[in-house]
Amino acid sequence: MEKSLPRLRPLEHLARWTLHAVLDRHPEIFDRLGDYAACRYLIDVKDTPFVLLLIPGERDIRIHLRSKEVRADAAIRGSFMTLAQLAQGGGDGDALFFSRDITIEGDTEAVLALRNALDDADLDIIHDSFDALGFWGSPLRFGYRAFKEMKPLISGMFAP
Amino acid sequence: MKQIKSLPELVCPAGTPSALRVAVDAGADVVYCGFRDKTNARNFPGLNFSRDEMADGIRYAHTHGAKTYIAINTFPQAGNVTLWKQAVDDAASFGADAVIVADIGLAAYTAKNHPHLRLHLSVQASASNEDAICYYCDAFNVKRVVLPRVLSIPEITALNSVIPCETEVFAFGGLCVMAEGRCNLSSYATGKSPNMNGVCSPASHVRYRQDKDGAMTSKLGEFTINRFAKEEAAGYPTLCKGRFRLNGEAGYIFEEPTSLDALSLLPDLLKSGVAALKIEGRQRGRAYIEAVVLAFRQALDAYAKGRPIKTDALINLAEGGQSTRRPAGRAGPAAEGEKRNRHLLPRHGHEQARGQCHARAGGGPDADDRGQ
Ligand code: SF4
Repeated sequence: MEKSLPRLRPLEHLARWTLHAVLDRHPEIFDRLGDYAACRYLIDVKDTPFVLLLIPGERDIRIHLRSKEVRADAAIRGSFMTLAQLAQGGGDGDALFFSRDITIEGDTEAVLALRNALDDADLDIIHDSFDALGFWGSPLRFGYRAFKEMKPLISGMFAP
Repeated sequence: MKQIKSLPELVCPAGTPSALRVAVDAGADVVYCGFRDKTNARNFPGLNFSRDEMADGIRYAHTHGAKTYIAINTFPQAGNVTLWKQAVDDAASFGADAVIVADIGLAAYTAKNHPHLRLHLSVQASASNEDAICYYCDAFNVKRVVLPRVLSIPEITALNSVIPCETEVFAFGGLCVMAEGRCNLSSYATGKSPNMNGVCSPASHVRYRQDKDGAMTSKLGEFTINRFAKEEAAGYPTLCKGRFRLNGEAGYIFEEPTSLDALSLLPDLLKSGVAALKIEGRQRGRAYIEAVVLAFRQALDAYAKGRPIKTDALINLAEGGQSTRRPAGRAGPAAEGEKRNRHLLPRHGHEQARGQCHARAGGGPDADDRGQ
């Protein structure tokens, strides 16, 4: 099994903690993934030097430098913003594929299963992470919710 | 001829419970969906409804004033019809507003055992002429037939004047250039059929290769379907929309990667007497469903109030970055400038293929286009 660089470990711990927060709050993701939970998904964040290796069934995510060869069943490539938007159901995966904003390689069925499972889960990764902090996350959750509610108002004020 | 006194139903897809809620909230009159098994032509990994999810979904739709139709639109296998009959029984017990079936035996079962359950005939049944439709209506009390995309608006109008049931037509989504339910292209390439498996390019047989020069090659089974240059808008690897070499020249033999978009045809479609507009795409995500449902809801409301219809809302969701839409105020075919990346695509054969589709209104300048 590939090991990540020691200097990437803190980032990896944060990513793994976030993944657990999301999976604990959305166990239905596994139901939709079925056997594809065991797949190794390479998520290539093109505007960073990193690739992520996601193995949902093992509740594991690893971070590697792109230069390293990583064994995976399927690969999804896109910019950080595009991938983050996609993970939260904010963009249409097919349209992003048509426009070449994301590319996929490997097991196409595995990619679709992951897309469908995440889309149904209606994720809000930031909210789920704050939620996982329990009592200590309450002020963060409150602030985040207020920000989300205010955002359209603020944008409206500055709209031409 | 039946007169449409009100706007047609907006029938929207949902592949997951979240998508169902998004469709209802965005203004769908009806959501169609299916069980997570072989009775459903969109039986893809990660999609569809368990029995509990279906019951909840129907409740959610009803609470918000919308209906739910359940697609049980594959063909039961010999010696194994129980799964299909059970799906009909469950749909009835959950309070579905209609079932959409393709198989003649299942239509007979539904009519006999659930006479009060509204029966719709799937496009997969390939009933597209007066005699076939009248037979289904007489024999099984079918209330609505979903028509294939290959019919023109004059053909739809003519059908509506002679058949005793309602018609539903596709208004947005994947474009099919054949009589649906009778295509064997993907069966030939992959062993999986559009009629039994609901797929023209089954993901299990699809592979993409990213080349060093930025191009992308798409394959379906053993067949290379297309090679898209760097930044060229891509499409699904579907055989009918593949780019092939013919007489030494690469081009599209049947059809280019293109989506059906009938927003600009709404006035003509509504005058044709259709009872419902169907949006294709149960396999697509919430963002697609929300955008398409909102655009059609707004278009229908604008039509009802006599306001102009916004026809350019959905081009970003279209396969290959291009659709069949016409610019507002134009009666002819889509203009070159209206199609994103259109200049990148060779033009082999598409005029003839798409000229048959109801994506072109009949009469007026369109009628002339067909002969060209
Ligand atoms: S392969 Fe093409 S022609 Fe055949 S059913 Fe699919 S979209 Fe229609």
